[in-house]
Amino acid sequence: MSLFLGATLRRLPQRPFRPRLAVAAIEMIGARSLGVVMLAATFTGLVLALQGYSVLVRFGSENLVGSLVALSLTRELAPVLAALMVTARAGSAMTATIGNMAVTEQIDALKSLAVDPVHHLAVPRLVGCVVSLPLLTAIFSLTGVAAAYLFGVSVLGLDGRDFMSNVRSSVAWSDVSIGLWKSLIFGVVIAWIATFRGFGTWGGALGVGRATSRTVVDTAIVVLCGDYVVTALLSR
Amino acid sequence: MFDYTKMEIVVGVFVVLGLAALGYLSISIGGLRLRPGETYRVSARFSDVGGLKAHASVKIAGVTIGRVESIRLADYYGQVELAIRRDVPLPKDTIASIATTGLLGDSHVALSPGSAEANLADGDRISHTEPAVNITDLIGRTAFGNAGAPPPDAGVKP
Repeated sequence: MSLFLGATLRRLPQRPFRPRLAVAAIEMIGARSLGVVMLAATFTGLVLALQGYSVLVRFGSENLVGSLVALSLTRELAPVLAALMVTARAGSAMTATIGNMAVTEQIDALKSLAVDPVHHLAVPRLVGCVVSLPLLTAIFSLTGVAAAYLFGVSVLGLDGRDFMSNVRSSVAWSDVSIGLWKSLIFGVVIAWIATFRGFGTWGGALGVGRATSRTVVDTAIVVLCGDYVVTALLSR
Repeated sequence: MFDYTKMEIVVGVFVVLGLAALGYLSISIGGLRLRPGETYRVSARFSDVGGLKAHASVKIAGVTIGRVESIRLADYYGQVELAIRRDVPLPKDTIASIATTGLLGDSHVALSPGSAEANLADGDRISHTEPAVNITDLIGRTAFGNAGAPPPDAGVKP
Protein backbone atom coordinates (compact mmCIF):
# COMPACT_ATOMS: atom_id res chain seq x y z
CA MET A 1 0.00 0.00 0.00
CA SER A 2 2.84 2.40 0.75
CA LEU A 3 4.35 1.26 -2.54
CA PHE A 4 1.25 2.64 -4.20
CA LEU A 5 1.62 6.03 -2.48
CA GLY A 6 5.27 6.03 -3.54
CA ALA A 7 4.25 5.25 -7.12
CA THR A 8 1.74 8.12 -7.09
CA LEU A 9 4.20 10.59 -5.58
CA ARG A 10 6.92 9.55 -8.05
CA ARG A 11 4.60 10.30 -10.94
CA LEU A 12 3.64 13.69 -9.50
CA PRO A 13 6.39 15.68 -11.28
CA GLN A 14 6.18 13.48 -14.39
CA ARG A 15 5.21 14.97 -17.73
CA PRO A 16 2.81 15.45 -19.35
CA PHE A 17 1.07 17.53 -16.69
CA ARG A 18 -2.66 17.29 -17.07
CA PRO A 19 -4.01 20.54 -15.57
CA ARG A 20 -7.49 19.85 -16.91
CA LEU A 21 -7.70 16.57 -14.99
CA ALA A 22 -6.47 18.30 -11.83
CA VAL A 23 -9.02 21.10 -12.25
CA ALA A 24 -11.74 18.50 -12.77
CA ALA A 25 -10.57 16.75 -9.59
CA ILE A 26 -10.65 19.99 -7.57
CA GLU A 27 -14.14 20.64 -8.88
CA MET A 28 -15.31 17.15 -7.92
CA ILE A 29 -13.57 17.01 -4.53
CA GLY A 30 -13.55 20.62 -3.41
CA ALA A 31 -16.13 22.80 -5.12
CA ARG A 32 -18.92 20.26 -4.94
CA SER A 33 -18.23 19.49 -1.28
CA LEU A 34 -18.60 23.17 -0.40
CA GLY A 35 -22.33 23.03 0.31
CA VAL A 36 -22.25 19.97 2.52
CA VAL A 37 -19.14 21.21 4.34
CA MET A 38 -20.76 24.57 5.10
CA LEU A 39 -23.93 22.86 6.29
CA ALA A 40 -21.95 20.58 8.61
CA ALA A 41 -19.91 23.57 9.84
CA THR A 42 -23.02 25.61 10.62
CA PHE A 43 -24.52 22.96 12.83
CA THR A 44 -21.19 22.07 14.46
CA GLY A 45 -20.79 25.73 15.39
CA LEU A 46 -24.33 25.88 16.75
CA VAL A 47 -23.94 22.75 18.86
CA LEU A 48 -20.59 23.92 20.25
CA ALA A 49 -22.03 27.31 21.15
CA LEU A 50 -25.07 25.81 22.85
CA GLN A 51 -23.10 23.14 24.71
CA GLY A 52 -20.30 25.50 25.68
CA TYR A 53 -22.78 28.10 26.85
CA SER A 54 -24.66 25.69 29.10
CA VAL A 55 -21.42 24.73 30.87
CA LEU A 56 -19.74 28.14 30.97
CA VAL A 57 -22.79 30.06 32.16
CA ARG A 58 -22.49 28.26 35.51
CA PHE A 59 -19.15 29.96 36.07
CA GLY A 60 -20.36 33.27 34.72
CA SER A 61 -17.82 33.09 31.90
CA GLU A 62 -20.28 32.69 29.04
CA ASN A 63 -18.24 35.17 27.00
CA LEU A 64 -15.61 32.46 26.63
CA VAL A 65 -17.98 30.63 24.26
CA GLY A 66 -16.17 32.41 21.40
CA SER A 67 -12.78 31.06 22.47
CA LEU A 68 -14.17 27.58 22.97
CA VAL A 69 -15.87 27.40 19.58
CA ALA A 70 -13.00 28.99 17.64
CA LEU A 71 -10.25 26.92 19.28
CA SER A 72 -11.98 23.58 19.00
CA LEU A 73 -12.97 24.28 15.40
CA THR A 74 -9.60 25.47 14.08
CA ARG A 75 -7.51 22.88 15.91
CA GLU A 76 -9.58 19.71 15.87
CA LEU A 77 -13.06 19.69 14.45
CA ALA A 78 -12.69 21.54 11.15
CA PRO A 79 -9.91 19.35 9.70
CA VAL A 80 -11.50 16.12 10.93
CA LEU A 81 -15.11 16.84 9.97
CA ALA A 82 -14.16 18.38 6.62
CA ALA A 83 -12.06 15.28 5.90
CA LEU A 84 -14.94 12.97 6.87
CA MET A 85 -17.39 14.89 4.67
CA VAL A 86 -14.98 14.80 1.73
CA THR A 87 -14.41 11.07 2.28
CA ALA A 88 -18.12 10.37 2.28
CA ARG A 89 -18.79 12.57 -0.73
CA ALA A 90 -15.70 12.39 -2.93
CA GLY A 91 -13.55 9.53 -1.59
CA SER A 92 -16.33 7.02 -2.14
CA ALA A 93 -16.95 8.39 -5.64
CA MET A 94 -13.25 8.16 -6.49
CA THR A 95 -13.10 4.51 -5.47
CA ALA A 96 -16.32 3.72 -7.31
CA THR A 97 -15.10 5.41 -10.50
CA ILE A 98 -11.67 3.80 -10.55
CA GLY A 99 -13.05 0.50 -9.25
CA ASN A 100 -15.62 0.38 -12.02
CA MET A 101 -12.87 1.05 -14.55
CA ALA A 102 -10.84 -1.75 -13.00
CA VAL A 103 -13.59 -4.40 -13.14
CA THR A 104 -14.55 -3.45 -16.71
CA GLU A 105 -10.89 -3.67 -17.79
CA GLN A 106 -10.72 -0.01 -18.77
CA ILE A 107 -7.48 0.31 -16.80
CA ASP A 108 -5.95 -2.41 -18.94
CA ALA A 109 -7.24 -0.50 -21.97
CA LEU A 110 -5.42 2.63 -20.75
CA LYS A 111 -2.23 0.58 -20.37
CA SER A 112 -2.57 -0.78 -23.91
CA LEU A 113 -2.85 2.82 -25.14
CA ALA A 114 0.49 3.47 -23.41
CA VAL A 115 -1.22 5.74 -20.84
CA ASP A 116 0.09 5.19 -17.33
CA PRO A 117 -3.13 4.56 -15.33
CA VAL A 118 -1.63 5.76 -12.02
CA HIS A 119 -0.43 8.95 -13.65
CA HIS A 120 -3.74 9.47 -15.41
CA LEU A 121 -6.13 8.55 -12.56
CA ALA A 122 -4.40 8.80 -9.19
CA VAL A 123 -2.16 11.87 -9.56
CA PRO A 124 -4.91 14.41 -10.44
CA ARG A 125 -7.04 13.13 -7.57
CA LEU A 126 -4.14 13.45 -5.13
CA VAL A 127 -3.57 17.04 -6.31
CA GLY A 128 -7.29 17.72 -6.04
CA CYS A 129 -7.48 16.44 -2.46
CA VAL A 130 -4.34 18.24 -1.28
CA VAL A 131 -5.52 21.56 -2.79
CA SER A 132 -9.14 21.24 -1.68
CA LEU A 133 -8.86 20.05 1.92
CA PRO A 134 -7.03 23.05 3.45
CA LEU A 135 -9.42 25.41 1.67
CA LEU A 136 -12.46 23.45 2.86
CA THR A 137 -11.03 23.33 6.39
CA ALA A 138 -10.58 27.10 6.48
CA ILE A 139 -14.12 27.60 5.17
CA PHE A 140 -15.39 25.10 7.77
CA SER A 141 -13.74 26.99 10.64
CA LEU A 142 -15.02 30.38 9.52
CA THR A 143 -18.55 29.15 8.83
CA GLY A 144 -18.67 27.44 12.23
CA VAL A 145 -17.47 30.53 14.08
CA ALA A 146 -19.88 32.73 12.10
CA ALA A 147 -22.79 30.43 12.94
CA ALA A 148 -21.82 30.38 16.63
CA TYR A 149 -21.50 34.18 16.57
CA LEU A 150 -24.94 34.73 15.05
CA PHE A 151 -26.52 32.20 17.40
CA GLY A 152 -24.67 33.53 20.45
CA VAL A 153 -25.57 37.13 19.77
CA SER A 154 -29.17 36.67 18.67
CA VAL A 155 -30.36 33.77 20.85
CA LEU A 156 -28.04 33.51 23.85
CA GLY A 157 -27.70 37.28 24.18
CA LEU A 158 -23.90 37.39 24.23
CA ASP A 159 -22.03 40.57 23.41
CA GLY A 160 -20.78 40.45 19.82
CA ARG A 161 -17.62 42.49 20.45
CA ASP A 162 -16.63 40.37 23.46
CA PHE A 163 -17.23 37.25 21.39
CA MET A 164 -14.98 38.36 18.54
CA SER A 165 -12.24 39.71 20.80
CA ASN A 166 -12.21 36.39 22.66
CA VAL A 167 -11.98 34.56 19.34
CA ARG A 168 -9.08 36.77 18.20
CA SER A 169 -7.12 36.61 21.45
CA SER A 170 -7.47 32.87 21.99
CA VAL A 171 -6.67 31.59 18.51
CA ALA A 172 -2.98 31.90 17.68
CA TRP A 173 -1.26 31.26 14.39
CA SER A 174 0.03 27.94 15.80
CA ASP A 175 -3.58 26.74 16.22
CA VAL A 176 -4.44 27.67 12.66
CA SER A 177 -1.29 26.05 11.32
CA ILE A 178 -1.90 22.79 13.23
CA GLY A 179 -5.34 22.64 11.64
CA LEU A 180 -3.90 23.25 8.18
CA TRP A 181 -1.16 20.64 8.59
CA LYS A 182 -3.81 18.14 9.61
CA SER A 183 -5.94 18.97 6.59
CA LEU A 184 -2.95 18.51 4.25
CA ILE A 185 -2.19 15.12 5.81
CA PHE A 186 -5.84 14.08 5.62
CA GLY A 187 -5.94 15.19 1.96
CA VAL A 188 -3.09 12.82 1.14
CA VAL A 189 -4.72 10.03 3.19
CA ILE A 190 -8.10 10.35 1.48
CA ALA A 191 -6.66 10.36 -2.06
CA TRP A 192 -4.25 7.57 -1.19
CA ILE A 193 -6.79 5.15 0.29
CA ALA A 194 -9.52 5.96 -2.24
CA THR A 195 -7.33 5.47 -5.32
CA PHE A 196 -5.57 2.44 -3.85
CA ARG A 197 -8.88 0.71 -3.11
CA GLY A 198 -10.12 1.68 -6.57
CA PHE A 199 -7.17 0.11 -8.36
CA GLY A 200 -7.41 -3.00 -6.20
CA THR A 201 -11.10 -3.60 -6.98
CA TRP A 202 -12.08 -7.04 -8.28
CA GLY A 203 -15.27 -9.07 -8.60
CA GLY A 204 -17.75 -7.06 -10.66
CA ALA A 205 -20.45 -4.76 -9.31
CA LEU A 206 -20.32 -6.43 -5.88
CA GLY A 207 -16.59 -5.74 -5.73
CA VAL A 208 -17.11 -2.03 -6.50
CA GLY A 209 -19.56 -1.78 -3.61
CA ARG A 210 -17.18 -3.60 -1.28
CA ALA A 211 -14.21 -1.43 -2.26
CA THR A 212 -16.25 1.77 -1.83
CA SER A 213 -17.48 0.93 1.64
CA ARG A 214 -13.98 -0.18 2.71
CA THR A 215 -12.60 3.17 1.49
CA VAL A 216 -15.03 5.14 3.63
CA VAL A 217 -14.48 3.02 6.74
CA ASP A 218 -10.69 2.87 6.39
CA THR A 219 -10.34 6.59 5.72
CA ALA A 220 -12.60 7.52 8.63
CA ILE A 221 -10.54 5.36 10.99
CA VAL A 222 -7.21 6.67 9.71
CA VAL A 223 -8.45 10.28 9.94
CA LEU A 224 -9.66 9.88 13.52
CA CYS A 225 -6.54 8.04 14.71
CA GLY A 226 -4.29 10.36 12.70
CA ASP A 227 -5.93 13.36 14.32
CA TYR A 228 -4.94 12.06 17.74
CA VAL A 229 -1.39 11.27 16.63
CA VAL A 230 -0.87 14.69 15.02
CA THR A 231 -2.30 16.50 18.04
CA ALA A 232 -0.09 14.48 20.39
CA LEU A 233 3.01 15.10 18.27
CA LEU A 234 2.48 18.79 17.52
CA SER A 235 1.25 20.08 20.87
CA ARG A 236 3.83 20.28 23.58
CA MET B 1 -19.80 18.79 -25.57
CA PHE B 2 -18.58 18.90 -22.01
CA ASP B 3 -18.70 22.46 -20.69
CA TYR B 4 -15.14 22.97 -19.55
CA THR B 5 -15.26 26.76 -19.11
CA LYS B 6 -18.12 26.57 -16.63
CA MET B 7 -16.22 24.03 -14.55
CA GLU B 8 -13.13 26.23 -14.60
CA ILE B 9 -15.17 29.16 -13.32
CA VAL B 10 -16.66 27.03 -10.53
CA VAL B 11 -13.19 25.86 -9.51
CA GLY B 12 -11.87 29.41 -9.68
CA VAL B 13 -14.64 30.71 -7.43
CA PHE B 14 -14.06 27.85 -4.98
CA VAL B 15 -10.30 28.45 -4.81
CA VAL B 16 -10.72 32.22 -4.37
CA LEU B 17 -13.33 31.67 -1.64
CA GLY B 18 -11.09 29.12 0.09
CA LEU B 19 -8.01 31.34 -0.07
CA ALA B 20 -10.01 34.30 1.25
CA ALA B 21 -11.20 32.18 4.20
CA LEU B 22 -7.64 30.94 4.76
CA GLY B 23 -6.25 34.47 4.67
CA TYR B 24 -8.87 35.84 7.05
CA LEU B 25 -8.38 32.92 9.43
CA SER B 26 -4.58 33.26 9.48
CA ILE B 27 -4.14 37.02 9.53
CA SER B 28 -7.18 38.45 11.27
CA ILE B 29 -8.06 35.65 13.69
CA GLY B 30 -4.76 33.76 13.92
CA GLY B 31 -2.71 36.97 14.19
CA LEU B 32 -0.11 35.87 11.66
CA ARG B 33 2.48 38.59 11.06
CA LEU B 34 3.59 38.66 7.43
CA ARG B 35 6.44 41.05 8.23
CA PRO B 36 8.32 39.73 11.26
CA GLY B 37 10.47 42.91 11.39
CA GLU B 38 7.61 44.76 13.08
CA THR B 39 8.63 43.71 16.59
CA TYR B 40 11.69 43.81 18.80
CA ARG B 41 12.55 41.45 21.63
CA VAL B 42 13.23 42.16 25.25
CA SER B 43 13.46 39.65 28.11
CA ALA B 44 12.44 39.76 31.75
CA ARG B 45 13.19 37.47 34.71
CA PHE B 46 10.46 36.69 37.22
CA SER B 47 10.74 34.82 40.51
CA ASP B 48 7.30 33.32 39.72
CA VAL B 49 5.65 33.35 36.30
CA GLY B 50 2.39 31.95 37.71
CA GLY B 51 0.01 30.82 34.97
CA LEU B 52 1.72 32.75 32.17
CA LYS B 53 1.83 30.89 28.85
CA ALA B 54 3.58 31.44 25.53
CA HIS B 55 1.53 33.66 23.16
CA ALA B 56 0.02 35.52 26.12
CA SER B 57 -0.33 39.22 25.48
CA VAL B 58 1.91 42.03 26.73
CA LYS B 59 -0.03 45.11 27.76
CA ILE B 60 0.57 48.70 28.76
CA ALA B 61 -2.45 50.35 30.40
CA GLY B 62 -4.55 47.42 29.17
CA VAL B 63 -3.60 47.89 25.52
CA THR B 64 -1.93 44.92 23.86
CA ILE B 65 1.47 45.92 22.48
CA GLY B 66 3.13 42.53 22.04
CA ARG B 67 3.21 38.82 22.80
CA VAL B 68 5.12 36.40 25.02
CA GLU B 69 7.46 34.49 22.70
CA SER B 70 8.83 31.86 25.08
CA ILE B 71 9.23 31.01 28.76
CA ARG B 72 12.18 29.03 30.10
CA LEU B 73 14.16 28.56 33.28
CA ALA B 74 17.36 30.59 33.67
CA ASP B 75 19.31 30.68 36.98
CA TYR B 76 16.19 29.38 38.74
CA TYR B 77 14.21 32.34 37.46
CA GLY B 78 11.48 32.23 34.86
CA GLN B 79 12.98 33.94 31.84
CA VAL B 80 10.26 35.38 29.62
CA GLU B 81 11.02 36.62 26.09
CA LEU B 82 8.70 39.36 24.89
CA ALA B 83 8.10 40.52 21.32
CA ILE B 84 7.10 44.19 21.46
CA ARG B 85 5.72 46.29 18.62
CA ARG B 86 8.45 48.44 17.13
CA ASP B 87 6.42 51.65 17.38
CA VAL B 88 6.23 51.33 21.20
CA PRO B 89 9.58 52.37 22.78
CA LEU B 90 10.13 51.25 26.38
CA PRO B 91 12.24 53.34 28.82
CA LYS B 92 15.12 51.52 30.55
CA ASP B 93 13.39 51.59 33.95
CA THR B 94 10.17 49.95 32.77
CA ILE B 95 8.64 47.60 35.36
CA ALA B 96 7.25 44.25 34.19
CA SER B 97 4.65 42.42 36.25
CA ILE B 98 2.40 39.43 35.67
CA ALA B 99 -1.28 40.25 35.96
CA THR B 100 -4.53 38.36 35.47
CA THR B 101 -7.62 39.54 33.63
CA GLY B 102 -10.43 38.95 36.11
CA LEU B 103 -10.37 36.19 38.70
CA LEU B 104 -10.29 33.27 36.26
CA GLY B 105 -8.88 35.08 33.24
CA ASP B 106 -5.64 34.50 31.36
CA SER B 107 -2.34 35.76 32.71
CA HIS B 108 -0.57 38.48 30.77
CA VAL B 109 2.52 40.63 31.19
CA ALA B 110 1.73 44.19 32.26
CA LEU B 111 4.40 46.82 31.68
CA SER B 112 4.54 50.16 33.47
CA PRO B 113 6.89 52.49 31.58
CA GLY B 114 9.37 54.45 33.67
CA SER B 115 10.76 57.90 33.03
CA ALA B 116 14.34 57.16 31.94
CA GLU B 117 15.67 58.99 28.90
CA ALA B 118 17.23 55.92 27.27
CA ASN B 119 15.02 53.21 25.78
CA LEU B 120 15.43 49.45 25.84
CA ALA B 121 17.02 48.11 22.66
CA ASP B 122 16.45 44.80 20.89
CA GLY B 123 17.70 41.95 23.13
CA ASP B 124 17.86 44.01 26.36
CA ARG B 125 16.53 42.78 29.68
CA ILE B 126 13.94 44.50 31.86
CA SER B 127 15.59 44.59 35.29
CA HIS B 128 12.59 45.54 37.47
CA THR B 129 10.00 42.78 37.71
CA GLU B 130 7.20 41.80 40.03
CA PRO B 131 6.17 38.12 40.29
CA ALA B 132 2.69 36.83 39.65
CA VAL B 133 0.19 37.33 42.46
CA ASN B 134 -0.64 33.97 43.99
CA ILE B 135 -4.42 34.09 44.25
CA THR B 136 -4.66 30.97 46.43
CA ASP B 137 -2.28 32.58 48.91
CA LEU B 138 -4.23 35.80 48.81
CA ILE B 139 -7.57 34.10 49.43
CA GLY B 140 -6.06 32.06 52.26
CA ARG B 141 -4.74 35.17 53.96
CA THR B 142 -7.99 37.07 53.53
CA ALA B 143 -10.01 34.13 54.84
CA PHE B 144 -7.89 33.89 58.00
CA GLY B 145 -8.34 37.60 58.58
CA ASN B 146 -4.69 38.66 58.62
CA ALA B 147 -4.32 40.12 55.17
CA GLY B 148 -0.92 41.71 54.80
CA ALA B 149 0.70 39.41 57.38
CA PRO B 150 2.77 36.51 56.08
CA PRO B 151 0.86 33.22 55.54
CA PRO B 152 0.67 30.97 58.64
CA ASP B 153 3.41 28.59 57.47
CA ALA B 154 5.77 31.30 56.21
CA GLY B 155 8.50 30.67 58.77
CA VAL B 156 8.28 26.88 58.66
CA LYS B 157 10.92 25.21 56.51
CA PRO B 158 10.36 21.54 55.73
